[in-house]
This record gives sequence, structure tokens and C-alpha cells, in this order.
Amino acid sequence: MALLRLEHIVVNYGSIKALKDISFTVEEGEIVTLIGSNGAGKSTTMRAITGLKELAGGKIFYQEQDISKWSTRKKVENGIVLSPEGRQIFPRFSVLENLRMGGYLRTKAQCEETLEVVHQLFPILKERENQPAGTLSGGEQQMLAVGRAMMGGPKLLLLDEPSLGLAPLVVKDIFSLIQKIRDLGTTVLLVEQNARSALKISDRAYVLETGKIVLSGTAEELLRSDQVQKAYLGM
Amino acid sequence: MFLQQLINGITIGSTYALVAIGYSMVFGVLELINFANGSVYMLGGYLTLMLYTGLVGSFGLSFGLGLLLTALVGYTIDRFGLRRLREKKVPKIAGLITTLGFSQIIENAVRIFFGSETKPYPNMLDFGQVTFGNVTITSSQVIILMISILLMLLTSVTVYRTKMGKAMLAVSQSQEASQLMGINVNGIISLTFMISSILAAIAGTLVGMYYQNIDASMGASVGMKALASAVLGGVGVLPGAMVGGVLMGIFETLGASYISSGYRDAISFAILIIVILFKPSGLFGRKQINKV
Ligand SMILES: Nc1ncnc2c1ncn2[C@@H]1O[C@H](COP(=O)(O)OP(=O)(O)OP(=O)(O)O)[C@@H](O)[C@H]1O
Ligand SMILES: [Mg+2]
Repeated sequence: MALLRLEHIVVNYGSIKALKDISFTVEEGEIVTLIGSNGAGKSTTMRAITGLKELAGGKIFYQEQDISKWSTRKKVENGIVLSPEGRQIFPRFSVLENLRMGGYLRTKAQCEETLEVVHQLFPILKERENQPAGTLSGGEQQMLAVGRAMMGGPKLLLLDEPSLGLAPLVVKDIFSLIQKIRDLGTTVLLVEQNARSALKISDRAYVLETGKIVLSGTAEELLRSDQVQKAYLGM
Repeated sequence: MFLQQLINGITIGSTYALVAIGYSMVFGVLELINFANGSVYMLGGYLTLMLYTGLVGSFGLSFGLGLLLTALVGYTIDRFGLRRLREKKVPKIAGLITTLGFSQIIENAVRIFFGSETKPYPNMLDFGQVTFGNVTITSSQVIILMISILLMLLTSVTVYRTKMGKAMLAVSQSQEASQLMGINVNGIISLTFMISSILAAIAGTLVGMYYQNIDASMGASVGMKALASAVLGGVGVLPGAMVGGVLMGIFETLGASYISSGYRDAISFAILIIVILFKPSGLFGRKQINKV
């Protein structure tokens, strides 16, 4: 039983067809990665799953329920949480306020519990808890975005380019953190430009090209595939 | 003389502050000036009066019903005028025109239904006055000031201390991120419009009682002054709108009595222009933290 299943998803921006028939699944406990070049439709896929962008066709199932028409709020309530591309933290809120905002729909007790986990994963977010988030460095903001998404208590965590703009060393940290998050029991759907590092921690992956899935398989298969090596691993 | 004018200025200024909060809140959440806010202020005063004289007979009940109706008008402006524009990601200028349109419609409707002549207003706040030397304070002034302060405190607590207020502040920083937190963004925006309308309607009723008359054009001039107050204090920060409103009231009252009543509006706007020149973000405005 798949945790998430997309069936023939179509999404348009006006006359631009961003997604043309996307189907894939994410099983419980997996890390699944979407790779693809700029403009392939990765972020659009994430936005469609969270309901930020309406579908022009197809259906989305979550725990075997059709959630295609659900509001973003209802999806968040049911454990689908996105850390969006470009972070989108609340710049005037402090780090702690940002994190608390992530737990907007949860009880105080639940928030406190998750807050501790987040602080363990990202100690810097505890050190800086009173700093306005807009004054954090790019990397710190990225950690805040991921931490804030975790505060929503996701069953399915969607991460859109969590390593964007981070120093190579920090990128390594982020990927090992993603593994930790999964080991704590959260399923992860990941979008990454850093295809190699992403594939190394993933179970399976899908390759997107101009709104279509052109390749899929286990992470090892894709790491070895000629097509992927040429196009996304720079070999 | 000075003290007397100061007291008069603070009284009228505190009602500007209530209207200014509305401009500031809506601007904070939508980056849009709700030009209809001044008309809603006038409408609030009218509805209370018309319900009182025409239908209900109890002032308190009329006042309550009037607030409810103005809240509904505020809701309508957003729900049926602005929400669709947001969803279609139309440039902000279109929304601005929509609020101007609503402002005209409200003002016209009041003239058609209630007549365009100035109407006498009952003062329910008149319980006498006290005089110290040559300074007289009326009960109306005291009550207006107290109600205004109470409402300002209530609004501040709501915005800065409650979960709903946090959601408002979140929406004002990023609608999309707010949606991703599970905030009902449209609901928060509706609430913002309703709160600002209620504050404006209360101010309209208070001023009607204070001057003991009301006319359909009062919305336009007070709307401008309240908007100016919000800018003076710093748009998007509530204490700014509050202090800005009171200052605006003081400036214009002092200006009118020491210079000439003909310059009443010109003086306060001249001060506004000067303050903005030296402090573009207003007295309490925050320096922009750029979104990264
Ligand atoms: N708001 C929008 N309006 C119009 N077109 C859009 C919009 N957002 C995305 N698109 C288009 O949809 C296509 C897919 O964009 P998307 O952001 O999903 O790509 P992506 O795979 O995430 O790319 P990147 O790796 O650069 O983030 C692109 O051609 C893009 O230009
Ligand atoms: Mg993207």
C-alpha cells in the first residue's frame, strides 16, 4: 500500500503545460528523490501534492484516499508537509516563532515534543532561537525551513531542494539529517539538483524531463544508469 | 487654551487612530490600501443612527446591529471584490481600484437611502462635564478616549498575543508559507477586514455622537486623515497607527486654533509630508528586512 500515489497528474500555468501526465508512488518509510534539470517540473509536482497549485487532470491518493481536492490545510493536518524551494521562512519572526508556526495545527504538547527533536537535529536553531529569521545566513535559513516543516509532525515530508545554496560541508550534513529524519519514522519525498548525494541516501528515484517521468528505478540502478550519469551526475 | 485644544485634539485623534489601525492591518496583511475604510467608518455611524431612529429604538442594540452589518460589508469587500483578484494574481493596482469603487458605492448608497443632508446625532455619552480653571473636559471626551484606548489594547493583544494574531502576522510576511503551515489564509484576511470595519464603525458612531451630527461626506475626509495617520506612525505596525492617529488629531486641532481653522487639513498634511521626508518609514516604521 503506497503512502502517496500520483496518477496521471497534469498541471498548467496558463498555456504552459508544466506537468504532462505524471504518475509515481512513495511507499511508507522510503526516501524517494525526484531529479531533473531546471524547469523540468519538480517544484510544480511538490506544489501540486500540497495543494498550492490546482490540478488540471489526474488524481492524488494518500493512504489510499483521493486527496486531489483537499485544501492545503487539510493536507497539513493529515501529515503532508512541504519545506518549499527558496525556504520561505517568516523573516520578521524569530527562529523560535518560525518553528512554532510550523506546529500551527498541532497541540502545545505535540509542539514541545517535536521542538526538542528539531533542536537535537539542528542545535543552531536553539542557539539562535531569538534571532529574527530574516537575519540568519542562507544555510541557517534552510535548516530552519526543514525544522519548521518537521514541526508540522509530517508523515510525509516533502523537501524541495534543501541543499540549495549551502556550502559543500553543510550539504553533507543536510543529507545525513534527512536520513535521520527518515529513521525517526518520516517518509521523505526529496527534490534535488545534487543528484549524486540525493541518490546515495534514497531508496528509489524518478527522473523528470519537461513535465514527464522519463526514468525510474532504485537509487543504485539510477546511479549506474548511463543516461543519468551523463545528464545529472556530470560524468 | 493650549491644554483645552490638546484635550480636544487627543479626543478626535483617538478616533482617527481606530480608523488608522484598519488601514494599517489591511495593508500589513495584503499590501493594499483599503480605500473603502473611510466609507465604512461613515456607514457605521449611519447604520447605528438609522437603526436607532427607524427600527429598533434601543441605542445599544442598534449599535450592535450596526457593527455586525459593517463587519459584513468589510467581509463582502474582500470576499467578493478582492479574493478573486488574489487568486488570479492580478497586479495590486486592480485591488486598489476595487476598494475605491466600494468606497464610492457605499457613499452613494448612503446618500440614496438615508439622504445627503447632515443629520442630527444623539449623544448618548453626555453625562455632564468638569471644569478646571479654563479647561473643560466633557464626559463624551473621557468616554471616547477610554473606549478608544480599550479597543487599541484589545486589538494589540489580539494581534500580538493570540494564535489568530500570529497567523495574521504570518500572512503579512508570506501568504504561501502561511498556507503551508496550515493557516486558512483567506479566513485570516476576511477576519482582518471585519476587525478593521468594526473599529471604523465604532469610531464613526463615536464621532457622530461627539459632534452630534453626521453626513455622508465625513468618510472621505476622515479616511484621508486616518490613512495619513497610519503612514505617519509607520504602516503595518499597530502602535504606529495609534500614535499617528492621536498626533494627527492634536496637530489639526492646534493648527486650527493657533493658525486658522481654514488650514486645519493643510497643516496636518504638511506635517505628514515633512515627517515622511525625514523618516520615510514613519515614526515607528520598521526598516525592511529583505526576504532572502
Ligand atoms: N508561476 C508560474 N507561472 C508560469 N510558469 C511557471 C510558473 N511556475 C513554474 N512555471 C513553469 O513550469 C515549468 C516547471 O517549473 P518548476 O518550477 O516546476 O521546475 P523545477 O523542476 O522545479 O525547476 P528548478 O530545478 O529550476 O527549480 C517551468 O517551465 C516553469 O517556467
Ligand atoms: Mg524547483
